[in-house]
Amino acid sequence: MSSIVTPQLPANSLSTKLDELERLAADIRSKQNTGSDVQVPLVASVVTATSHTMIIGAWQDIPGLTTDITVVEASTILVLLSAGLSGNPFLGDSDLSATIAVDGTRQTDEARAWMSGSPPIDDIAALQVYAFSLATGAHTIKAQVQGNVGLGVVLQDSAFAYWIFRQ
Amino acid sequence: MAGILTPNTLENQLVSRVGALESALRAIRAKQLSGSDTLATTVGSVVTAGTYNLTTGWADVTGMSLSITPLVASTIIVAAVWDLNANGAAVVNDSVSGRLDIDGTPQTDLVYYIFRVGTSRATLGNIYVASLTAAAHTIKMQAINNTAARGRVDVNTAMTYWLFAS
Repeated sequence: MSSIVTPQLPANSLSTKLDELERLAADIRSKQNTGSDVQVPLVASVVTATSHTMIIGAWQDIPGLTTDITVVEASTILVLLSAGLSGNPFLGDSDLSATIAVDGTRQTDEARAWMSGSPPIDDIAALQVYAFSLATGAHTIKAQVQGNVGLGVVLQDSAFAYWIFRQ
Repeated sequence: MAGILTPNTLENQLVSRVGALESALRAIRAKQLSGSDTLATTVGSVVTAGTYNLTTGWADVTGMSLSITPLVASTIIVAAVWDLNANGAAVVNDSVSGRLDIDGTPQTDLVYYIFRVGTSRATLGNIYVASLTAAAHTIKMQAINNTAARGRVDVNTAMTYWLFAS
């Protein structure tokens, strides 16, 4: 006769265990809800629609290749830059560089190529990859280019893609 | 009567079951925090400020090695860029290549470039995807000049990686 079982559960080990269990479940659930300890990457890309003739010895922004990002917590960003570099038939051979600038600071590694300005004119999609930290807050990421030797053109195919991961 | 439990027996059973549940939740939480069984992703990069002189045999590019030990079976994506520079050498349409090596196994996809003149230079890349077991692994960038031992892999060489739990 189960009806005669009338457990009298005092404020003992069972209730203590239940309290702990409820706190633990709430902790797990709250973290799941906010995603604060699950790393969900933000993925996006920027592509320029114009070509741009660079100048020698001075870094310039590549028109259209910029993005503003605000991260809600410290993050790591990976950037894949593809710079469409081309020789200039009117200006001779050239050594061209492109890179990413984060909040005005250029990254060291460059997408770089030597281009012939004489037929056949060289075109190349020079590649570079980056990984760096972003502090919580707003950031501006730009692609920049310069002619190290001679002049050239950065092509409209140029683009960068990025992935942001919470640290 | 088996259906009749004394309060003490019932309480003991409940305490045992709640205790087991608590242990299970703690294990879930610990793994969640460690990222070992979630979709947590490890990302990073390897860069070098040095150079490596090309030879006519495949060889490791100095400084471009990644040692990684996933906690669980994982998939890794590697984006690698070789800064191939004739560096003033008397090249004659030299054929140069780069590739990724994972635990001693060269990957099939290469990057190709031709050193047409001594000023030839380009940063060229490829992207690799591979499965990694939960063990130590070594990933290296390699390069070769198929024509002659000249030219070099220059300072803009880099690779980034993404590691995902499978």
